[in-house]
Amino acid sequence: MPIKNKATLDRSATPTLARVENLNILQPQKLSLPNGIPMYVFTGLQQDAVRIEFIFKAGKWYEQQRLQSSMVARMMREGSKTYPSHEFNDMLDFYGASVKSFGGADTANFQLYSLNKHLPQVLPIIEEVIKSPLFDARDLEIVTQSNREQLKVNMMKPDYLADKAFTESLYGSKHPYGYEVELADYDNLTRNALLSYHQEFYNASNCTIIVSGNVDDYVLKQLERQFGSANWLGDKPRTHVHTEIDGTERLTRHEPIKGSYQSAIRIGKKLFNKTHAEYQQLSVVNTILGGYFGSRLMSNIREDKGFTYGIYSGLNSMRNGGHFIISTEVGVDVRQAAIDEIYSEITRLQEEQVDAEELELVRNYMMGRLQNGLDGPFKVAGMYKGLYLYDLDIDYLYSLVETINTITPEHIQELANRYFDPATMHEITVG
Amino acid sequence: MVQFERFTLDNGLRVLVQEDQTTPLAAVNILYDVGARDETPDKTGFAHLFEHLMFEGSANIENFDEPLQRAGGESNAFTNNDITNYYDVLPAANLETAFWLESDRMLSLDINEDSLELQRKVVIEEFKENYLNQPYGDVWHLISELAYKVHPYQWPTIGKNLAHIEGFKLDDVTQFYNKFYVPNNAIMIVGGNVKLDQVKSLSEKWFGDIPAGKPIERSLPIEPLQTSKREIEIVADVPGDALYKLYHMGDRNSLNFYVMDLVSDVLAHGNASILYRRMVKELGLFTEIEAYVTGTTDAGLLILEGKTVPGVDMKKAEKALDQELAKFAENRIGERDLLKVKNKQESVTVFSEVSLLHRAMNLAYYELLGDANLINNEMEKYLAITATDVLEHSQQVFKPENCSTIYYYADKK
Repeated sequence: MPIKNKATLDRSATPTLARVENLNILQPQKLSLPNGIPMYVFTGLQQDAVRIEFIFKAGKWYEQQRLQSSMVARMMREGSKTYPSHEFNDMLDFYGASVKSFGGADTANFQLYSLNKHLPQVLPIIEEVIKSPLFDARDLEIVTQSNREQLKVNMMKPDYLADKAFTESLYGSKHPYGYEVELADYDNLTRNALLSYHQEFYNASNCTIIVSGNVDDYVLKQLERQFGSANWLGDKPRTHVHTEIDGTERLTRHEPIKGSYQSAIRIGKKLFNKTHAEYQQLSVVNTILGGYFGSRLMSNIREDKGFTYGIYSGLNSMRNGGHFIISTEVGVDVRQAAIDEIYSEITRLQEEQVDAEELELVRNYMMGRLQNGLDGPFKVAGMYKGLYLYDLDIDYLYSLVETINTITPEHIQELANRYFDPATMHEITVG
Repeated sequence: MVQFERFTLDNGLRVLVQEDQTTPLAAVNILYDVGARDETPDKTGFAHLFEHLMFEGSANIENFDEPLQRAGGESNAFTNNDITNYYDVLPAANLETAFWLESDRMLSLDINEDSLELQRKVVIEEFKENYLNQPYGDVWHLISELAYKVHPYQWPTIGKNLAHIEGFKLDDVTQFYNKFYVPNNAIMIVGGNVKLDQVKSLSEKWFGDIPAGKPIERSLPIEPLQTSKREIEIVADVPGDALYKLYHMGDRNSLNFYVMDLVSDVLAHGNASILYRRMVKELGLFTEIEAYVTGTTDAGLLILEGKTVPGVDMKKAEKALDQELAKFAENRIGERDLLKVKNKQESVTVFSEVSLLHRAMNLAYYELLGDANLINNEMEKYLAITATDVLEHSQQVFKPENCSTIYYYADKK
């Protein structure tokens, strides 16, 4: 092939490319409610819709007991006294609103999606559930049962098991960033443990609100009315410090699973979070190695060898730590070959400088992705959530642009040598 | 309101332009009217494998993704039973790069033994990752096979088995490409920070000289009415028992589709739904229960799926579920419940219009269904549904003889 008739246009030349040099980033309007809750507003959406996200510093980091963060977040969708589970969900459905909630490493988030026109009916319901959720015993039992069943399914998946073993090896199974939940953890969870966690952390003094979409004064006025009073200030939560990371120095382990078609591979190490002076530079190095479809890992292990459906690397950032991880699932018979190729790509990054053409591509790609990731108020708000938590602001993104445009091949090589030494990598394979 | 313009090139390529000057981006979405339903029973999974090959380079372009990434863009694609859909999102200033790339692979894909071998391996790993190495991973194969006896929906997009994927030859690639990857079998949407005139001239320039292919006549067998219930039992290494009930329903353009789409929400969307309340909360028979429609172009399925509480007898749980469904099909739905699902549908529609790419994909599929303006007036179809429609269509669908059941048991060993 080529297999169709020859057409007339000369197609050999690439169209001229324009480079995205600068970004025009939507700035937040920074407000605070009368009770002191910081509120960041991103408006300009054409559709009459809003997303209101309540963020509490109530992630795993703050737990006294496993599951408190994720289960409180989950049970926030099961209603309040006036609107118990069925009524709560029924009312939200009736007004076409939806909520998501989850507990992460550092924060617990509660998101409301609503059309502007229904907000006056929806917000009072949300107010009640945020300030005084019900945590009904029967609902808790049902949610626990469903989660346990889902966990049993996950425990049969090599990728889940590999992720679990990997994070445990980095931080230790006692550390909030290190543990993955076990079935037995559900046995020890009581309604009281959830109530006390909610009482301590879901307060105005521990809350940030990010509002995005079509946000007019009326939306803001309603938020102030429902959430601006001093009646839910709460006490200042306890300070939490976890220094006792008991992860292993370096771990290489293979757990076979009989009859498995694939092995999940996780390779990586503990590093730092996005406030580190070299994080942005390292994110460029990571992109080259495994951060996009054209990356070296994908080009080699999928597009040249055909060992996998996909392979990626990434930098994970938490408020008090961070790590680097390469993850993939490969055919069981090529596990070692894939691992060898992964290390050979890391070594190549350390021994040879990236050529100008590849670096130019990665610069353009990263700028394009950034532009895409900042397209419209919902996306900017999502990005901002990952900044303010680290006491960073939109400036950080402009400095990232600067880094993308100016980092040199020498610097990339130096960073690869400093941070990606294969001899320091944990290597977990399952299946 | 999503505004768009439409024109057609002489070679039959349909182009829709959706200008949005609020974004710095452009999206190019090309839908090819070919999917797994166009495969033959002995060569399944080919439409999807072919989608992978479309990224392997064309006459003037060694690798599809590289120039796009260099332009700050990204692309991907998906295949389902009905269509194969490709998309590129990139800075609007580089729009022409997407035209260059997409037109070159429509005109002259460059496939050789090596690239076929390579993507065959990748797809085999995809098959293992998503269908073999997952608890319940084979359930889509079981569902398709049990519910469809004649229509090609009887196999899932990934293909019936690994042997089919192992068997494809370069000849298959050529034939498939020449038949289906022609301008008269494609719909292109260009959206974002673009102008109609600009898109017209770029379309003429890059796609205008691609020869049209022969008109494609599709004569798929119609799945006959199911007249008696079907059942299979599976025992596998999974953590818990699961029940799947499959009901035949209408095609994507039928009133039945719209009614049953709402019904699936009333039955099992969220904790306020009928089945969650009764089956999970009150009776404690299931840990979770879901209902959804497959939404295929040809007649589809409404699927009820539930995981039973450990220790609960599946047949007993099923009996209670059947009773609840019968009750639903016998009684008129309340006006408030009907309004509720319509409100939810309205909200889903508004939120789905936020994303440039979603708008482009939706426009392409609606155009294929016969009217791109469905993006604006599909909501009216939902709003027009009456309680009588719900009653009549539910009675027609929730008949025991219209149901296929999969009892998926955990191997107790």
